[in-house]
Amino acid sequence: MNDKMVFGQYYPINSWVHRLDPRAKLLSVLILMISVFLIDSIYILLGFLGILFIIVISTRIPIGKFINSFKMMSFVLVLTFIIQILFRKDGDLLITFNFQLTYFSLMIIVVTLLLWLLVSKYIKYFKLLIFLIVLGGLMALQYYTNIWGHIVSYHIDIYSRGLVMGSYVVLRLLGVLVISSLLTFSTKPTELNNGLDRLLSPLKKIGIKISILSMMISIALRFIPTLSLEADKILKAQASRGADFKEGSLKQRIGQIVALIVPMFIISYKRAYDLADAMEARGYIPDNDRTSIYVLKYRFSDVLTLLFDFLVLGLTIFLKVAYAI
Amino acid sequence: MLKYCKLNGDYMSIIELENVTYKYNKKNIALDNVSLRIEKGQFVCILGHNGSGKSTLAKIIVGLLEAQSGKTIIDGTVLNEETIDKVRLKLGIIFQNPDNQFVGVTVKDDIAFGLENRLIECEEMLRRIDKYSEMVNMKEFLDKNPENLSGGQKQRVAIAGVLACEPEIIIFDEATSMLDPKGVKEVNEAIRKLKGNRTIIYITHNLNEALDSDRVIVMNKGKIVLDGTCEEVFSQKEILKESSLDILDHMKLIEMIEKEGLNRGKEIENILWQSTYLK
Repeated sequence: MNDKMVFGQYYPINSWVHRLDPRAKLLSVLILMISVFLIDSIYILLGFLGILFIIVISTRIPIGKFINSFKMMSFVLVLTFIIQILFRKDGDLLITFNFQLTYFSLMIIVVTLLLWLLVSKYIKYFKLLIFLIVLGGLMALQYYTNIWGHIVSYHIDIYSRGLVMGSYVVLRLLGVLVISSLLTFSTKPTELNNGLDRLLSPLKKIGIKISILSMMISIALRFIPTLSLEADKILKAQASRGADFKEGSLKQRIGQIVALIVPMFIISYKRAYDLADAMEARGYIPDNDRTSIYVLKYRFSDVLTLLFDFLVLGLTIFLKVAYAI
Repeated sequence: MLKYCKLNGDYMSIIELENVTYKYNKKNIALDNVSLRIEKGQFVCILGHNGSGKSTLAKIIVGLLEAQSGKTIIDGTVLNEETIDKVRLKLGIIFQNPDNQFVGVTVKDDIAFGLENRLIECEEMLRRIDKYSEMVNMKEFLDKNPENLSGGQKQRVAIAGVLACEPEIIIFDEATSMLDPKGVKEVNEAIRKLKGNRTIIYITHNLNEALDSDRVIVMNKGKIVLDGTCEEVFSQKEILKESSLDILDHMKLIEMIEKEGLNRGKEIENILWQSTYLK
């Protein structure tokens, strides 16, 4: 449990992506994401995803981990696709579906949706897929049947542009997901923090204090497991005194949560005070220059990676301009 | 007994407090006109029960609290707003709670924290981390997170973190009071290795821990009530009792034998069993 909190999604293997300098990785993510959004040809986009796929394979991070992160985003992906198809009205008209809403189909729709609400709790896998199939079934019902009291007829037009734009958005989001997952799988939060600190340190010249921010992040990372352990202890202590966090009405439960929040707040405050003393005594002066035990050095592989990124960016810009003409 | 260095007709003391008074509020006086000199290289133990002002004293010496009146002089420099950052480089303090002073995400990060603040180069940092983590027997834990360490291990990391900065004065502010017996033993072993090289102030409420110090200071109600060698201080049983400090087990024994002779064998045996020497 604690490892999960400290390392986030970090997958501990020693691949070439893991060994890259965090600054190089952060820059790469930025550049590749810009490229993804600049590409406006479906073939190039597919090619780009192909290259990403090869990179992912070469890191030997299990594909399952990526699919897991797709799952979390699948609702957004499907929703954007459907919205694009429904509301894009340019390009060639491909197909028109005519639907008849009757009292019969309305009844079935209402019953099915109610059933879904009841049953959905127990579906563990492929929830979204099953929901889409159910939805498709309901639409098919309206398409084929026309019995029992006609209410209204309507039609959905699917245009070519809608399909194309829909696939663009989905593919782009996929690309962004793969790139960002690759970063979080291959970089520890502390490394990320270090990289960000070093990358943004020039901002000090215009008065933005990045070093304080990164110190705050690193302390937060340090204390998340400690505080969660503490919260666990308090939960148990309060439960042994009769607090019940799982049952009762919402109002009661909020009342019980106070029994957790108040001691947590006091303890965190006390900790913060102690920690501030300890840091000050060890010579920490906010915003003063500090050295770091982690010396970040761009190596040949980092330079190569960045060159590759710029090549991709350059190529996409070139293709965009060439196509536009 | 005490090794004084004469310098310009004055003793060379590394810490000097002159009439220091500190109040948390009007009624709660933590330090009441305390004057104190601590010589270089000594192992000084400050004893006192809860609320006797011993921790306040430590915080005033390291400049975390500013006294309402009086002067604090560290190694010839008067502590004030301007000098504090410089003076702090000569000081190290280890606090009571092992968790609340662990700044880094790993042991290595934590030992490096003080060094990073002192602008020490990476190679030198690694060298010192190596040296001092070895000294406190924490070398094989360098990449561990604090939640995987015991309290004693965390305190040893804190000690290594302070040692790595190579301060002249190290203060242990009840550094062992939150540890289990094993942790206390580990930490005290690490502290013992430091004896003689540096000025050490060891703050505790446990008389047994004060046994091998060069000088013992007893505090009560914000005042110094006893000051001297172990023998001198521990023979003042009445004052120790007044300061709510328990006298040592073997002294209890001697006292009892003196009073009653050897005819209460059972109770003597009980005391012996409880005594730390048998544990």
